[in-house]
Amino acid sequence: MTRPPATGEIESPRPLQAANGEVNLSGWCLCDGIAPRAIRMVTAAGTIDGTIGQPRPDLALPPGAPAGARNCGFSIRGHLPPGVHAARFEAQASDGSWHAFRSHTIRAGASGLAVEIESPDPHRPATTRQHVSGWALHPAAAITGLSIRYGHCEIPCDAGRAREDVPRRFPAAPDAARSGFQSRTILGAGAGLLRVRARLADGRAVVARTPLQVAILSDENHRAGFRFSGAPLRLPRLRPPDLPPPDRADRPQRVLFVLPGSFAANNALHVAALANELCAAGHDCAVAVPHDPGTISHHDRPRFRGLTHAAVRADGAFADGQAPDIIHAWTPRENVRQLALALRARHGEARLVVHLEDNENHLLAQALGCSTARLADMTEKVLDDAVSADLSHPRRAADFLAAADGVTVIVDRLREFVPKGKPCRTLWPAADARCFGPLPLPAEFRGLLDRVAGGTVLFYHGNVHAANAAEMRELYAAVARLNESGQPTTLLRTGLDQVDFLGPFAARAEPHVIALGQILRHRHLPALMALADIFVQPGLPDEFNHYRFPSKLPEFFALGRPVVLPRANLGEHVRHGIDAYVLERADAAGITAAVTELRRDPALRERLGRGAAAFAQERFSWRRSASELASFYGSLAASRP
Amino acid sequence: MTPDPAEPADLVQKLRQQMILAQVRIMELEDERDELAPRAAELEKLLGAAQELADRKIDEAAHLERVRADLQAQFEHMRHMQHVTNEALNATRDQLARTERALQSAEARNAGHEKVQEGLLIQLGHAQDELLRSAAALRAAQAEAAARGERIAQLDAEQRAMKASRSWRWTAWLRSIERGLRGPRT
Repeated sequence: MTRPPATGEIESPRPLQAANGEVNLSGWCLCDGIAPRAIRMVTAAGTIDGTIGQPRPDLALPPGAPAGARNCGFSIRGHLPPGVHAARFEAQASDGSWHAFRSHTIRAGASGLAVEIESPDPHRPATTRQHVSGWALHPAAAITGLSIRYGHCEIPCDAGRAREDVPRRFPAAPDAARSGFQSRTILGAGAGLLRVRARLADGRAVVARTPLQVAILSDENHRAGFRFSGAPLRLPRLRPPDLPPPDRADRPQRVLFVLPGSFAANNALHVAALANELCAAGHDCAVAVPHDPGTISHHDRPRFRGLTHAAVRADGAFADGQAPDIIHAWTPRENVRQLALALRARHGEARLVVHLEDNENHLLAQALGCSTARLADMTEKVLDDAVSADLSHPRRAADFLAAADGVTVIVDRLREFVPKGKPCRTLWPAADARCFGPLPLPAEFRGLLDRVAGGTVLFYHGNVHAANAAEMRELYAAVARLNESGQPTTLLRTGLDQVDFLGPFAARAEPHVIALGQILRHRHLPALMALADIFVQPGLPDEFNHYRFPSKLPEFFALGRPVVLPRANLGEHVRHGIDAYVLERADAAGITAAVTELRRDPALRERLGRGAAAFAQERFSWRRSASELASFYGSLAASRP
Repeated sequence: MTPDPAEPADLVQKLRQQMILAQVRIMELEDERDELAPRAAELEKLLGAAQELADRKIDEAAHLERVRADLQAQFEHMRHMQHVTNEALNATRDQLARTERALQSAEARNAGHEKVQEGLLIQLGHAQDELLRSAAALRAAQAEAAARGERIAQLDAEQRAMKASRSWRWTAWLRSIERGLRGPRT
């Protein structure tokens, strides 16, 4: 084979990269056995000339090589626009001809904002107030606005100043000749690394870091001694526990959960947690929602497949059209019931399980504005017209439960709705152990939050809707009363208000409430909950609360704070004064009295906090619930005729 | 985080709300960073692998280009050799054509000689006939000579018998006188 006239190597790390478009390569090259006259890198974006002649005593040259061959080291510096470029490296022979000796790809960074600070000296801390000047250039887009940032400060800059040197460095950039800038004002008090932020003509904003450390201690607005560089306050987050994987299932099953609402709903948290645990144990789970399948992004690393009711109807829920072993209808609500029955008709072998989590008749009565007793008197026609897809039809739901192979309930009292002899399992919800756990009170942050020393913070997360509006009003009333009685109390609220539950009372309560709106990602709640001293679940022992299990309760207990709750649902299982503060009626008066006592008795607060954490540890576990659910599924499959 | 939860009228209350929401935003950004970081690392790895692959392909292409150039040179050499061979072949063909023409000319000349050859052949035939006849005469002469030879041998035998007889020996003295009388032979 013929011997090429030029040989050499690019010694920069492979694959070749140009961070922020800045090319900085080195290597060696011999042309006809001696150092070439010149070196260059040729790309479609242009040619960058290199510098040849650096001594390379480390290279093993053939014996008798001319002395000039030793100076064959080179470097190439320049700028490339963002993208991946095919680069050809060429050497110039003594007769002037160019010969390629290597070809590589080179990746140029996307930021592309090239910045240089010239004044003050960027390599020494800036401690005096002065203008900042230099140049800033984006090779691919025109800069329409420029500012410098450091610490909490941002200072706009006058850009477009003439520069003669920059075009030589960026010959392909049309704006290089007017890339100079200067800050409009001198540096103000603040501390931090200086960044340059450019707004580009295409609408993008790009930021480039500089080495300049600003440390201006005072100005006309800040006295000396102000801490600009203090560590920012942060809310605590739980370090995810290193949980061992669950035991693998002997007989993996395909489980389809059918939900009545989107993945943003509370019951989706339950289903997601169970499905994740089942998947971890080797089962295959899919969860179908009637709308907004994109809300699955609210869940942290789901292991299950999320899809819509329509998709399940059309294509099935599992790969290759495989039938589910279990169809778990999460509530007997109409949209769930209809899909579950259709799927069961299609997959005769599948077991149908219905989950009950509420007194559905009470919810329907609330929605229709009548009593539950009145529902029994309604004709079929009236009910058909009145019951929407997201509510449960009293008679059809009963038939649905009768047709089910098994039923799961969130609290034992819901067994009243389960047909006699029907296999039934109680599944308590739990808290996601990856993010809910005992968290310390962020005292410093609370110090900023509290209006007066010794204030109390209550926390409640969840929406306010027709079914819980009355009890939420009691909570707000309790907060108002506490403040009116000289006990500074703040209620931190997340969630949406779907009904106006305060009315004229709002003026009294709202100054003491910090409404944070809906926190989309449930995993962010624990850090906010850590700000609370006490958790309160308002409510009365009534036909609504006896048949539900507020999903926030396991999360309250997991945080290790005193929990105030009514003697209903979970309140019937905890010990007053040990696990929680149990009220016969968690109304405004009861809550006020409980919070007052807890405020006065730090030992009680401490004891109830420990008790809550211990109760959570002992009684709430999605892994255990999922294991029990899997065994329930197994028993149903075994009972198949 | 919803973009705009109910705004408190009280500025301090608003500040407290915003302070907490800023923490939520920080957590959201941290989550996004944590979600994006492995994806970015994966993409970086993928891009690096793609770039390395492209570099290998570029190296292969350069190698193939050198091979192609070598093959091209060999091809040119072969073409030259083919040309030279063709030239030689053409010269040989010309030579052959000339030889063929000479041969045809010689053949034409040969055609005139054939008649002479036929005459000669006839004469040769006659000569052969004569030869056959001579051979037959020779064989007859040889037979006669043989017969005569036998007769000579017979006579010779008879003579030797005669000369061996007692009568011949007894009469030897007479023949000697006779030879003396006749004188020496000439």
